[in-house]
Amino acid sequence: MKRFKFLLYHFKKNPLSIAGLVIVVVFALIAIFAPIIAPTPDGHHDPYMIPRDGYVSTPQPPSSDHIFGTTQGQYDIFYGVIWGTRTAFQIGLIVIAATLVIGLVLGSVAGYFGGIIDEIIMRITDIFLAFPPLILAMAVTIALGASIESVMIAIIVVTWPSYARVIRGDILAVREEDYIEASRGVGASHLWVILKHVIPNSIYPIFIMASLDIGAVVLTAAALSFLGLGVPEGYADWGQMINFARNWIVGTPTNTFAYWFTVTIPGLFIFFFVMGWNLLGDSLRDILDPRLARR
Amino acid sequence: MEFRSYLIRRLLLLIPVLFGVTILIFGLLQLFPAYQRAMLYVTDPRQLNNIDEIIQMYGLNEPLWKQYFTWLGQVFSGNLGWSKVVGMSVTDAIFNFLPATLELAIFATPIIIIGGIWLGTKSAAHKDGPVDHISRAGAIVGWSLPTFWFGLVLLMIFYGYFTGLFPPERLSTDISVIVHSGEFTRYTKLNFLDGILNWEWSVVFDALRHIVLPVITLSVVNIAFIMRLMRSSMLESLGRGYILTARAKGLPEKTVINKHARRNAMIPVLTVSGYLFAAIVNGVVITESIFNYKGLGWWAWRTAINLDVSSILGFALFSGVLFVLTNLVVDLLYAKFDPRVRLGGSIK
Amino acid sequence: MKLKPWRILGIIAVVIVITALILPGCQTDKPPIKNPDTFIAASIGGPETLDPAAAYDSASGEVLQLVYEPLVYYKGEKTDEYEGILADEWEVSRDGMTYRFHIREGVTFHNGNELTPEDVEYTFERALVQDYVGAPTWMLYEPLLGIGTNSHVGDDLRPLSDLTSTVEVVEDGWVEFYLASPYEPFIQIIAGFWGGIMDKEWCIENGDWDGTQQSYEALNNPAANAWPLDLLTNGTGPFKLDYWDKAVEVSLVRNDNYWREPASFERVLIKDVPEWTTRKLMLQNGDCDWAYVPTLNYLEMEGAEGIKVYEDLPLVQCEGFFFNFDISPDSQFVGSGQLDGNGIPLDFFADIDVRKGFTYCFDWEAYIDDAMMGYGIQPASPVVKGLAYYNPDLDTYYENDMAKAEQHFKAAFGGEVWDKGFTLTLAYNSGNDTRKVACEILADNINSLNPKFNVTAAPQEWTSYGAQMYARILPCFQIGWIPDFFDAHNFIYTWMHEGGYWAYYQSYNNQEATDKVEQAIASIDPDERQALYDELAQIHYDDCPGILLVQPTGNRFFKDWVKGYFFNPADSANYGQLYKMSKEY
Repeated sequence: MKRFKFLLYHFKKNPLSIAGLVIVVVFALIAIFAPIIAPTPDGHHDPYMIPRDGYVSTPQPPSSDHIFGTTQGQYDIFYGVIWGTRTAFQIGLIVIAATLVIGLVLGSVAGYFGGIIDEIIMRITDIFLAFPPLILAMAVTIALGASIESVMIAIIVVTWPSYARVIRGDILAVREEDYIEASRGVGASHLWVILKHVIPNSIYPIFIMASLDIGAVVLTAAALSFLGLGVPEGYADWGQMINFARNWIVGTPTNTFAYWFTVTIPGLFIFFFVMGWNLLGDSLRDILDPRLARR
Repeated sequence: MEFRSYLIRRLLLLIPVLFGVTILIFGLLQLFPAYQRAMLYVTDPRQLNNIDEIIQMYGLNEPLWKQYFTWLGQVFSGNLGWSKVVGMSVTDAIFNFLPATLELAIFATPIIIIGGIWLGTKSAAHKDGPVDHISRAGAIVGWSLPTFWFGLVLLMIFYGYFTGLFPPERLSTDISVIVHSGEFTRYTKLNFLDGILNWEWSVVFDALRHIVLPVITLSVVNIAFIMRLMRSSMLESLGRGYILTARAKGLPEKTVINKHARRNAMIPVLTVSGYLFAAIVNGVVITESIFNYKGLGWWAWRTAINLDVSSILGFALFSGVLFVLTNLVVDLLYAKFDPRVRLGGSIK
Repeated sequence: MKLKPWRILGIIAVVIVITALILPGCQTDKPPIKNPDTFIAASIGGPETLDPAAAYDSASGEVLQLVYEPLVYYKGEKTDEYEGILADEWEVSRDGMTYRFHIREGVTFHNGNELTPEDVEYTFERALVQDYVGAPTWMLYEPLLGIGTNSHVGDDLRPLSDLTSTVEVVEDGWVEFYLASPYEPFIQIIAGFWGGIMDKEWCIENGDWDGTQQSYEALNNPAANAWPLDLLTNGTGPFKLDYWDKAVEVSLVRNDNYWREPASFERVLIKDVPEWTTRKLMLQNGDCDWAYVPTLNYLEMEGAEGIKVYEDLPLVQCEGFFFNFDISPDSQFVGSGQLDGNGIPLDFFADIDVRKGFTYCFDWEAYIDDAMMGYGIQPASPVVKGLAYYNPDLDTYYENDMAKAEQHFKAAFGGEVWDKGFTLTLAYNSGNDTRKVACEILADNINSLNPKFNVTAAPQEWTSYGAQMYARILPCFQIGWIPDFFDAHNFIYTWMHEGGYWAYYQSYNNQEATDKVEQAIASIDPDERQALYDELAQIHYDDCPGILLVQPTGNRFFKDWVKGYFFNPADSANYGQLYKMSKEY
């Protein structure tokens, strides 16, 4: 509790962190109230599939029917970016949660037991860290087939090893401390010691790292979709909407920027979303753990 | 631990990692059903009749371990398969597309490193001043920018308005003809360098014109990354005792910052060069795909969206091995110059 | 003085602004012709190979038609009249079984060798010998050795003499082909880019078939791209290969020793530009003379300055929707695999009422207007407009009729389909918007009939789409056909003969149709052939093995300084015959 007050105090002092918090909260509200902000038309099966207004390819500029216009294939941009916010949160939170769980389990097992178990787990992380992340993610996504689940799995595959490593490092540090020795001394089981003592003590820096990574995770997912490897066509996803815009960079012969909205609007959504998390993550990191600020 | 034994330990560790890399790649390959892997050899729907024959011919329904060793044998003999998308073997494709990417990296890397270090130093030296605030804000913006979006916005401006100033692809048509003509020798296949070697300045100029936008796109995000790192590292080093001593001795502030503080602050920047390598490879895929700049990244993207499995896996293997080796070299250099590392055994 | 980085940036910014201000100011009414002696095409995809006996894709054909020449070719815009190219005279025997060509004299290959009748004989024998599995060589086997033949009989190689006896050099520069049975479109097959004449001596020098049995065995059906002439060319055509930078561009230069007047262009560059935005920009700036424009992007090209558009050209193609009569039990698209409301039985489409119910649910108007943007017409038969024996008076069209659809669905499986409902997924290859829309139209209309009908559409990657079509896993599939030659046979065989490519994959086997297809091609009486193809159209209508979706039409976009273009659907290149074209105002 004392720690929380400390956090709050420093947090309020930093205008950038307030800005970050505001941005993230606004996006969270958009995601929560998506069905009210951009109601799904009647008879439309899956709310995550953007409704189309016809099948013509050429984007239509903003109008009263489509306040942000339509992108290639007459997908409504407004609907797409609003529901895309949900997709972004889903991807960010699920990936980070899964990565945390995998990282915690493998990292603490490696750190706590050490020896051969540690060696094996660390060599496995080496293998996964041996690839430039986007390349491995691309390979995993195409191997699993285009879907939002594949994208999430692909990103989990490339992110868990660094978490496992950090957690292992922290556990190693904590393990040496006296009270762990003490509880082992009174006959507590391994699992008990890990759960009760080791994890609570090392979990803070991990949460900080995680909050920083939500932006990066969403950015990677968007990049995969942009490359045409992510979600199925028509799914409410910012990266894919930018991919749709690729063909509309050059305007009509009379109007150079005729299709500006197709690129700009989804791009700004990604940008602000990622920036919100980065600002938030940055300030949390500065406050909670100056040691980590080196990263 | 002696440096030599550290070196040996690291080299030995390389073996299981590379082995694991091949297993991982092969495992991914297994996610495709046999007939889908066979589809790679089918160029026309009319050839579908022969899929069973193809599956037989390439042993796609053999037991897994057998397929793995066959595949590994092929990999060791340099045969990574056929890249359908570009109509050459995967090995040829890697060598064919590497120069274009190198050209991009040769320009982008110094810009990223020098730009990042310079901005980071400035920012730290004027902590909490206007320069610091502006460059920090810039770093957060840069760090949050989706590379692909930034590239497209550049395209929108430079294709749409400043038409023809910075054209797409690698060379203009007339220049491409010069480069391929008999009088022009392609020593390195790096167009600007070949241009200089052939004393053909139109080629140099044209190559540079084509590379400006990709280099900017590739640099922005990574400059922000280096700048942030440099700033915090610099701040830390400015707080150290020897800096205070130097200042107390009355050395000019500029000397303190440039000679003493910066030198030390750069060590952590150097240690992330492995990470930087990965970031550049990631960026290259996106950048080249946006600008239709035909290098390795472009090829990787084309093969991925066409599900050209042997190419994408070949490329993953290639970049993985390169990445592992880069990291190894960085770690060894680091250990050589900072003996404390070796004692720990672990690098990170 | 040391330049500060911000100063350098400043200088760069100033330069950019100045250049930007100057550049738009330089424009006049008629901009000067860029690269006046070079034709530049911004295309998508590059050649697979440059061996005329192995190439079967249009990108390879584009290059091969400039480098190699056939004996005869289609005259002007016609697909039913021919002119001699390397043959200056030809005749067909009365029984339609022997074709005689007189070989032109005084023609040289790019390497200086003279064209001889032996080269012609060698060219076709070599193709039969190589018989690469993905090659167009089946088109030579069909007339010369019979339908369904290839270089193998069972597991054994066919005797070499079988192949070499089909084409012979006879007296005074004449070459004769001996057919297995009459085959009216044989002359069209000879005109394809697989009929480009090669230099025997040069081929053998470069390791190709030398006439022996041993070499036949060694070179028959090679692995992909492992043939000796994969990258080498030596033709008689108006252009010769300069270089081929794979995935970037193919460059050709003028053949100044051409047997006719040399071409107007000194150089031809065919660039591989997959990104539409780049191609559009190149065309607008005059950096290319022709660009590939996808149908979906026609609209935004309207009113573009300096662009010449050839509109509504009748492409000889047909896009179809095929029902699978015998779905594989491995299919993941059939739900429960039972007629219980949660799936479909594997023989679902064997019931004619199901097929007709589906067909009446299709809305051609919405499809052609929205997905094809009006660029297409509804075909009445697989024999589409532009093919020999096309009949404009046929009225075998289906139309969108929900009442009839309901009637058929109520009759299907003795009423069970209507009572229990069904669940089915229609697959299309991802990225193909036209096919996606066709699925969506069908799904929406079928679902509106009965709340128990649940049809959805799902994208599949192209590789798995093709493979699943092969494995009979797709309950229905959409695919199109591009002509090899311009005779009804090429399409009707594909759609209706039990061994035809699409009919085979849908397990559609109508003995009457198969017999009529074989009877029609072996006939030398045009009236009889016409009558048979009309009967086949009726069978297709009655049997309804699939939906004939559309015959597309297309536009071609050139820079306005390109002169001499005309449309012939037989040209591999969408930009026509470069030999007859030029750049001028």
